Amino acid sequence: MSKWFCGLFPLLMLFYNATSAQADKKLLHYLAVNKLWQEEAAYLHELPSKVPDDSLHYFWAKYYLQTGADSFFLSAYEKSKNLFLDDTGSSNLANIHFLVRPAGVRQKWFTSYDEKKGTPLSQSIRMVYDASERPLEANPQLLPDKLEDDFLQFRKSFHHKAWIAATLSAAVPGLGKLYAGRKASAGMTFILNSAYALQAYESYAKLGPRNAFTIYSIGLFGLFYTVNVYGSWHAVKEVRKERKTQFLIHAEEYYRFHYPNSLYF
Amino acid sequence: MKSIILGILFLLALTCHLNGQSSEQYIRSTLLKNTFDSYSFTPAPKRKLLDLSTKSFLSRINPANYLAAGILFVYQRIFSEQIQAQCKYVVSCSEYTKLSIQHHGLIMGSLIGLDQLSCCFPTVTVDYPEYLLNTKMQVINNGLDE
Repeated sequence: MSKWFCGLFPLLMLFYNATSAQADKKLLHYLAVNKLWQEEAAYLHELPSKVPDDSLHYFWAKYYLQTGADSFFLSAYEKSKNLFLDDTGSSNLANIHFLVRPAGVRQKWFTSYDEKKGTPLSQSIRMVYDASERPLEANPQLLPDKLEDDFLQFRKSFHHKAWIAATLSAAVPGLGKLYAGRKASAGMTFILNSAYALQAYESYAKLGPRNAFTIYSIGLFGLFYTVNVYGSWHAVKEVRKERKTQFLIHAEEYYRFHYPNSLYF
Repeated sequence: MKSIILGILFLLALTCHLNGQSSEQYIRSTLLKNTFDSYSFTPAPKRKLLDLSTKSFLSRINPANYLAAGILFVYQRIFSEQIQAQCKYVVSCSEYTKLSIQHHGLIMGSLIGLDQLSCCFPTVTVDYPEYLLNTKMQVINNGLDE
């Protein structure tokens, strides 16, 4: 059946386009729901020249939004901005979609997004985005209740300073990681460093400072001690990024679940 | 007329024969797949040596970089496969160290790699959020810091 469909599809499109100057939203919806991307692209390519340019870009923007081609989407969106923003379902979906995209693309979308035409939902998403960019200035009570805990966790990580973690680790190996929020790693780092320190101390006490094994043991301890200090400094920065991404992923899931939007209806 | 009918019959017979062959092949391949798939051996991934082509002239001629690359090469090609090393990270500690050296230079790269190595144990997954864990409960550590 699908082979027949694929074979007949271009012919049907030729016939269809000759008779229609408007894009068929029902057909596009059908193709989108069934993930027939190639067929949808073929249909959009074959749309007659009578279709205005901005609405053609508008349909392409929707197509790229579904397929996740962000830069193509942004390009098509710029060319059909007014039309796209009037369609609240699509603009809401784009807002939700860009919450979990790479930082550069996300920033580009939210800076180009026109807030004047925004709905309460898009304003709420905007608030989440702003909170993720400037967590210390954001008010957690303005965010949806279910995202508040995630946001507070994320904001807490911003109060942690990398240099404090490094200093704590220098004092007690592993303490900096505990401060950063990595409990299991902290325990392991403490055990590892204690073992190397004991080995170094014992070989120093029993074999003397000039023994090769003592030099090796002290060197190994020194290396892992340095790694522990650097690792704590690094962990604070990593935890910040992880919590931010986690917050945005939860926000995306929340909006997708509570505000289901469709591109074509 | 006779020759046309004979020709059509011949073509039909040929088609049936080819169809029979293809179905036989299909059955054979399915049988082989179902029988031996669980015993299939996935070879170790091919690993590249350190790639410093985009780095400065000084880092390209630095012998310490090549020494580190050599040590990691020997570990990955010989020891890692012999001891069946099971890393808790998707990008294994040795591979991550190599990539870090490539990206951050010898000293910082080694520190980052050793930091991961010192945290490579089964319960480390509790430190990471859900989105960084895959179905095998390994930590996804694909991205290196910019």
